[in-house]
Amino acid sequence: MIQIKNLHKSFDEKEILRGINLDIQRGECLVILGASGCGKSVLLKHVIGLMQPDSGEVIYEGTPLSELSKKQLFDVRRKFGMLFQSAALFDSMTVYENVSLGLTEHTRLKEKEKREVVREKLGLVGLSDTEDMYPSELSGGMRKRVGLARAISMDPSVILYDEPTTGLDPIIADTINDLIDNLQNRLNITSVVVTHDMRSAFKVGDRMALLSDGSIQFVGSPEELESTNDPVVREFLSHR
Amino acid sequence: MFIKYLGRITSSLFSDLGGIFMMMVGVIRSLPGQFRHSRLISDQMLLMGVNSLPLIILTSLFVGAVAAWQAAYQMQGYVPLRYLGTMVSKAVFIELAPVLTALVVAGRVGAAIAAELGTMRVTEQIDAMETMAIDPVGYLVTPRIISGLIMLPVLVMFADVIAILGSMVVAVFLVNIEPETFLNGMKSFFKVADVFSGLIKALVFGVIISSLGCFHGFNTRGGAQGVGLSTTRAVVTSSVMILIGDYIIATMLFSVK
Repeated sequence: MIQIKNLHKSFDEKEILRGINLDIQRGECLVILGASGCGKSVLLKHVIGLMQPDSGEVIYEGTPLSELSKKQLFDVRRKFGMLFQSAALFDSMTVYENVSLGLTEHTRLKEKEKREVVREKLGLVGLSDTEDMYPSELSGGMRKRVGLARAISMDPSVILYDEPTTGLDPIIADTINDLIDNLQNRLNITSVVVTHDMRSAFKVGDRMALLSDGSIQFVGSPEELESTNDPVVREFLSHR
Repeated sequence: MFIKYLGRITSSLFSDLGGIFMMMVGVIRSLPGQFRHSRLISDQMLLMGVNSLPLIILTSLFVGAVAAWQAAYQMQGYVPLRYLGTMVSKAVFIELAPVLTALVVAGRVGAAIAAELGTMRVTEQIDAMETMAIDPVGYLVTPRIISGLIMLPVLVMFADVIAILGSMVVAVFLVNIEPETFLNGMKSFFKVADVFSGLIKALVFGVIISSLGCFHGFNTRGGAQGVGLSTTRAVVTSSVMILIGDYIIATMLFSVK
């Protein structure tokens, strides 16, 4: 569904991604593991076209993103949802306005219909009574869940999760993991989860990829990850 | 060392000019879709215009007052004081009201725009908007520029009236000129074109303030320090561009024979 081919990216002469090759298959939940600051979020931003690579390609359903016009890129993005590490909720808008923004901008739904969709999505993340609250009135876990409701508001076929459990206590983190798992099973969407939280990775991942030193060092099932003798993987797993 | 510094400044200047040009292209492209953003535009008009009004009234009152007092001081012994209304009104309509209103709005609104968009940039809210296939220029920048374009002339009209009232108070109570004399002085050399020239300036200043506020906010890097830096840059560049723009418009609108 999504292919990343020989992707390179540098910032101020510091090479962050050094030839990433990765295939993301339809309907799977791929977890990209890696230490903090190794370029996982940068990779995720390339997948949705927020960053342009120095060289290499991100190919979505056979079309390289670099060949798309701005309008075509926006059409592709409408099939994506993204949960940011900080949730990135619009702080001047209520929860309802945050979740309904995509619907307001891209559909002709009436106010009543939008409200129904928002209620349904907030219900999926277990936050039915927060519509009129502002992000500043929510806890970290609630913000992530609202971010998730916003990400699924347009029924995307791919959801990108950037460190979904970072900064959350283990109980709330487990709630988020369950939500990712449930959405994956109920909506049959493709998920890409970037994390360094091994507990979360093993809970939600169908396949694991390890990003280290700017390139993908390992791709395989969670069982293969645990049993491999690859020294880079063993070194990473020894710190969990 | 100096050459390197000069090169860096020049490169940064051209990069900024290119960035502003591209942003304005985006603004023009997004204009047809703005009917859906009428609420955003009216919110910004409220923020830029209505909420700025108390400050504009206060500053204009004193601008008019000091203009009358200084003009009276400079005229005494050379020009009959019955022309005080003429001098003050021309100065207010053509120069003082548009320029000082614009500088006040740049400090208040330009800074607020840069801080708001800068915070949205560093907290990934603008990235989030892009991932939702919403054009941030069309959603955040264009409504602010439209509001600036509309509200600055409105504020300048208020400033014109209040400044003239302020100057009249000083003329009548402190310089001891009859109100009729002051008004007759104003009327005898009044040109509608003078008022329009001030409003044309206000239109341009409205675009300068909102576009530079948006540009610097959009290009914020780093955290809180970056937001502070963008806010300062927005106010400084807007103020400088208002004064340069004022000179350019003046030379275009008024010929000196």
